[in-house]
Amino acid sequence: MDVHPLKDDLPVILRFIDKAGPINSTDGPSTTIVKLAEFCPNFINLNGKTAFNRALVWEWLEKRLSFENGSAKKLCKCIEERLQGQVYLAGNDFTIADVVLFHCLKPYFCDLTHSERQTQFVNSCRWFQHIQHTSGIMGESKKIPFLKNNIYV
Amino acid sequence: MGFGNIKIASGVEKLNNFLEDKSYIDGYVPSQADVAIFEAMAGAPADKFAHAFRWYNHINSYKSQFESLPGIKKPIDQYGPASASAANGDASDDDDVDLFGSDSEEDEEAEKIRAERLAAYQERKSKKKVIIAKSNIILDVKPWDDETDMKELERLTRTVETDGLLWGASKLVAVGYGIQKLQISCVVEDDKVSTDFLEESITGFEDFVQSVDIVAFNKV
Repeated sequence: MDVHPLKDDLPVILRFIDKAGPINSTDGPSTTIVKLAEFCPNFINLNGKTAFNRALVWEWLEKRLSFENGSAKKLCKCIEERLQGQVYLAGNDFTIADVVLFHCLKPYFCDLTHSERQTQFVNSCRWFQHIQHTSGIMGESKKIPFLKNNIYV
Repeated sequence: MGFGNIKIASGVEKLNNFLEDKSYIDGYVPSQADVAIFEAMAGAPADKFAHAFRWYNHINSYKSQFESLPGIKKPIDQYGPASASAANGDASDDDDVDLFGSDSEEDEEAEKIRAERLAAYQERKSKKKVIIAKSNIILDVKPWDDETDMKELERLTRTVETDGLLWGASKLVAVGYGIQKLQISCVVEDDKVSTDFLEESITGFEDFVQSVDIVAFNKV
């Protein structure tokens, strides 16, 4: 499955940040997101608490863009590795990077088989399950259930 | 209940398995549950317990906020998977579930909570207003000929009474050759009154009624 362009996810992400304000059309999608996330009323420090975290957020946004025509599987593997030792993508807190990659990979996760979920993408599924429950992120759609199947244990 | 002794390797292993698909001990935000288990541990878990290690480092970063995390601290036995402590010997695969036997390893508290919830549900259910199913039926009562007294016909029809039957409006419809039929509506409770009963009792007035038909039957 190919990763779709970031601008397709933009409306959902902006709704999450709670911004329906004017968007400067000369800014690219990443810049727009970061700029508006700065003032999100529901979450603090969406862009990263420390300078290091902020840099990580930008790195993830870049990575997401660089995968735009690539396969979602590779992006997911990337995430998988990173999440081995971390709970969130960019440090120890929830950031906009989590939101962006969540929406990017949602269709991919929906289609994963149970075996893949438990053997190859253990950490990503944990992260996905976790983010799903953050308020506001799913919008109208229903949550995807993640169940641990004893066959693969 | 719980992870067993998390100061030793087997307990940490259980913690590790538990955290494989969860980011926090309880729910989706760091809470006192995480604090409780964190403080009960004897230092960071070994690298081979990757998930426990990850969780440990993550919770460590919240150290300064331990006091303000939500939830209440409970004894660590109450967290984690509901399966038995090491004493009962974890069936190494929990695949052999005794489908018909009761789970003797149930936690008492979990039982209490379940009983409470069940009671609350039953209460709510009994309080809920029972909706009675009703239907609106329109009947056509046909007389023998044009000389039949329609008023009498109607009066007799309305004498049919039973629990759950309510007569409504009526009108006379001309059929032809001077003959009129009585169209009368009624509201019945589905459980109590059947259309057979209505038809039989009305056609019981043989002097006046030739036949009865149901024109319309709508659920209310």
